[in-house]
Amino acid sequence: MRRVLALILMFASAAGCSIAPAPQVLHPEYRYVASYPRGPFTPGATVHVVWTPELVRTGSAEPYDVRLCISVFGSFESPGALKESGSRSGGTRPDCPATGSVVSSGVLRTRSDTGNSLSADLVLPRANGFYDVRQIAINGVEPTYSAMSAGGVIEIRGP
Amino acid sequence: MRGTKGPMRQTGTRLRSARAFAVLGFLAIAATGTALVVQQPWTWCPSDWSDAARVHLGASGGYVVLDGREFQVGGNALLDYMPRIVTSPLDQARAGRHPLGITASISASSRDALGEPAFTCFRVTRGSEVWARRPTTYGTQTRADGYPPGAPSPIPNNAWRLASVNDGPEWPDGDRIELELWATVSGRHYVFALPPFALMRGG
Repeated sequence: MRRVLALILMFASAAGCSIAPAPQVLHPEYRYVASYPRGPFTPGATVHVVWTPELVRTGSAEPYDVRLCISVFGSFESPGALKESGSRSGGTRPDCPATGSVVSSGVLRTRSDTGNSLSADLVLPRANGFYDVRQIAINGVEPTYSAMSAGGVIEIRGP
Repeated sequence: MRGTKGPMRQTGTRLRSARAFAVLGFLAIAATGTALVVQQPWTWCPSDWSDAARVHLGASGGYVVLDGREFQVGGNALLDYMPRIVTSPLDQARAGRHPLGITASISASSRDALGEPAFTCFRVTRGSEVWARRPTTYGTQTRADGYPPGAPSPIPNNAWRLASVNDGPEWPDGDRIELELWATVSGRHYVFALPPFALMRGG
């Protein structure tokens, strides 16, 4: 009887060990927000763009690859014409490098858990006018990923 | 007389047994019914979604490419502050409540491109608290649905599906929450993770 009890206890303790939860590994998740000088912008000038990491959360989800780029679309006669064009072309998926842009930064690659700043120099177009500056982020890799873009308007005006 | 007591006793025993079975059956049905009403298993999320691909959205909604196919996915959670007409004490009790409601959508460039996606779980986290429910996914709608009969279809004729769940927890507005949308798209499982956002009042 004692042997049976000892065996039961051994099995119970072994089972207890086997279902012990594995330690959860937590990863920081950053998003990278582009910023550049406010201007004035002159034709052909070089603009220094910096992507600053912002902590989104810390969790157990696996880190993922991030591609970043900034692209300039235009030119437009006025901010109104730019917005109208944007609403017409709405519904196109952002991509890095962006198709249809007049100038674009290279594609910067990082990870969601890296948390380091990135930077690139963007040479502005040579024609005067208003431009749509879009920062694009691709989270994940082919064939499954998400893509988002955020835009701003700049005016390039020569002396 | 002895001859008649035997069958009568048997009949009485059978009646008692039948009554007992009926009572037991009724209790079993009542217990099952109560469990169903209380637990509402049709609102449960799938027990295992570990094979799902995780897609991190950069905002509350955006473009996603799922196995090479393009969609737009978005979701939002709001506290129900919808004004209500109070005509009974029951309405009064409801009017004082502000439960969380979650909505989500998935769209594509056409009905064919959209396929038959279904949201299987909305999972919202506030600190260490988690609330998860299976939402109702509604039928496919297209832009052409709103056009008068005989009118040419818009190009592209975007198609979408909406899903929603209500009666969530009454968390304070302004609290930071995280939202996951679980979905089956083209037969594969996905978790769309939205960035954390502050809970707001809606109505």
